[in-house]
Amino acid sequence: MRTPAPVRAVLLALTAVLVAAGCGAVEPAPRPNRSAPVIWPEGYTEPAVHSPPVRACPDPGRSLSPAGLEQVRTPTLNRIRNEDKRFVVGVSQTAPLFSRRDLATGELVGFEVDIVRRIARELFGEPLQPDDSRLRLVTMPTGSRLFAVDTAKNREARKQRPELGELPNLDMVIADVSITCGRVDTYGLRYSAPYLTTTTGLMVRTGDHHGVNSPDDLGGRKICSGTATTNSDEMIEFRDRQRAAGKSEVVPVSVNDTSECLMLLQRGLVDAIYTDVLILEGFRLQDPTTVLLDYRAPSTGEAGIAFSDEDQDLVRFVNGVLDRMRADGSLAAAYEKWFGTVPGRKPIPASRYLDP
Amino acid sequence: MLAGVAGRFERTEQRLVAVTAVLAAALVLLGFLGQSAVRDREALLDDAVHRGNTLTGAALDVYRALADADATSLNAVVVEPHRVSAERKRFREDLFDAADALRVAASLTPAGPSADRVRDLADRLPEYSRLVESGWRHSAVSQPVGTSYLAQASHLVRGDLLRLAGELHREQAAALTEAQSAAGRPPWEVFAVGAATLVLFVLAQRYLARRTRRRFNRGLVLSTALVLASLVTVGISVTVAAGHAGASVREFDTVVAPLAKARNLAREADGDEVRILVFPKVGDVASLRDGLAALDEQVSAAGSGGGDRQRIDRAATALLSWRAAVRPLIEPGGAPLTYQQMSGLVIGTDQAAHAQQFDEVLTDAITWHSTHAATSTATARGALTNIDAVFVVCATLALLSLGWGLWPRIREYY
Repeated sequence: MRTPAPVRAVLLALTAVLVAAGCGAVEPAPRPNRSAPVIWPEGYTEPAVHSPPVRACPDPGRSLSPAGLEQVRTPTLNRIRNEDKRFVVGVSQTAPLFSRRDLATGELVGFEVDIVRRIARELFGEPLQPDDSRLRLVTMPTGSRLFAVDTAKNREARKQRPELGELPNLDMVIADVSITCGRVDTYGLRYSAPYLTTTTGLMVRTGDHHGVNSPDDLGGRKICSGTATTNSDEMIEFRDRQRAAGKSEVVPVSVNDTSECLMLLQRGLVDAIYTDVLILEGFRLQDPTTVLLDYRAPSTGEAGIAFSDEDQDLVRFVNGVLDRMRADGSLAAAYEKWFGTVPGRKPIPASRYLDP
Repeated sequence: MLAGVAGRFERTEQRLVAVTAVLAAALVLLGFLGQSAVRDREALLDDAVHRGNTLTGAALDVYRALADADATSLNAVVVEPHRVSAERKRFREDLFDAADALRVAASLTPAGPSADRVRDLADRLPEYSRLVESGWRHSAVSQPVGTSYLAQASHLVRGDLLRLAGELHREQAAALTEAQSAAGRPPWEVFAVGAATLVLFVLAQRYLARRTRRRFNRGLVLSTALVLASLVTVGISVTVAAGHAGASVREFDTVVAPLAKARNLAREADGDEVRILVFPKVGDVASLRDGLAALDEQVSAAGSGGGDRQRIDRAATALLSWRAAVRPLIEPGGAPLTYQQMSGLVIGTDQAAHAQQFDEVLTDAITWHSTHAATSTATARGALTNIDAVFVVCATLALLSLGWGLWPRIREYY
């Protein structure tokens, strides 16, 4: 039986409409391919930038002899002991083993805290309790701590940058301050005799350490150091030598505060940390999933206490305390107590003085 | 051609038909314009009531919750052990509030720059939460790397999240103000067409009076009255709506905005205080000092902008107490404070109570004035309810009346 023509026409029209409707069906919009944003710390720089060249200077680690204290007036010591009746010291509160604060109790502990307490004890002539208000341990802003030392250059800097006016005037800063000509030139500092010798090491995550013996084995990976530190400059120079030799290059990156490198390593955003082994040991103790490699950079540095170059009597006095700590073994004991687990650490350096 | 057109209207009945057609067209145009004008304004106010107010409030909530989270994330590592849980709970509640407000904002801004900001905020919240929780975990076992996590979290919230939330709020507040201002604008196009229609009716009346020796055509008079009534109704309704919408805009601009800014600044100042303890930076003290001074200005601005006197006074009193409590922290000179002294100033019970009280008083004032302003918007919307229908009915009746008045005159010639 044949379908009547009108019905065929209707069916044909219906089919055409259905086909057209099918062709015109709205397709779902594809979901955009998105990924989680990467959050970097403030001041993160990739690749790291070499710090400006520094004028050479006579050995800045050669300090003022305590023997000269008896021949000079002692205005700073008199002010601290008799007028201010307080000794104001800038410290770090986030450098484990060196100086770390329990944020809830405010208590500070570490190698440098032990040194400061000994200096304060001799300064005031009696042991000080942890809560004695004569010793003010002030946490300084990272990157600005040395502006708090009362030097002519820093007073000029405070005029140029009014925000520095909120920094208190410190009698000294002890916070693993590397002894460099650049800092003498920039801030007008004078250093104590060095109390630490630093050497640079390399830290990676467990699992990444197989076959890694030096930065040469980290081609294409990110290596973190503090901005404008000698460590960062060394890594940039290392990268340049790799480039010249046609090797796979490391990627030096830098952060404002070296302690942020550990956070970046834990988050998988960098592959290694290149800094002082004593700092790296503090990192390792915080995170057992990290590995401090046996690698040691060929060059070494020294850390000293930073003073104003106008407070020569205080410099001589502190050098005297450090010498007595060397002599009675308390400096070595504190060093052993805090850094005894660090493999290949350098011995405490001997004092060097400008005057006899 | 003009002669041809004129030739078609030589006879009176033809001219009457033309007059009827022109008047009917004018009425239809007026009805259409009037109805659209009213509906446009209703739509703007509906959007303001149901979306704009909610969205602006959500943007405010995002900012407030994140600024508070910044302070509480740091408080949690410096307070005494028995207060840690409370601070952590408050941080998590802040994050929930921020996420909830973002959910509301996302549902109300499907596209555009605000939607991008909502997406960017939502993208960063999980990482922010992770950073803070990691910071707490490390700090709880005295690992200084916890401070690095918390510092980065604070940098993220201050550098990105609060900036995005601020931009979102500014955009939505501006859109709300613009919508309400637009809803209150007089419908000049309706008045112009209405005036032209009235002139046409008067001319038609005069023409009829000359041709028919009747002084008034009842149909035309009734139509004229209906047109006039519709225009007066729309004029009054829009004026009333404009008054309420303007009051709402003023309240948002001169009271809610400064109070909201004060609350945001207060939360940031609370964060500044604890940052000085946990990871001090040059500029923190100045930022805190400037922030507290700016709070004073904002509270005063809200007072002079017409804020509820009792609530503004309570805010000013709480602020005064807070500033007095932290004065040693922000005044230059003198010996640097010990950590314990600073800690007492920043997280001590009295200071915390003052800062908390200030936040609560401001939140109460913001809620009260926002509700009041939203009520004004709703009242503005209410003033326009059914006015479009009234307008259409008037225009329709005027059309019928036109036919009632002119049809007998036309029929006389056929």
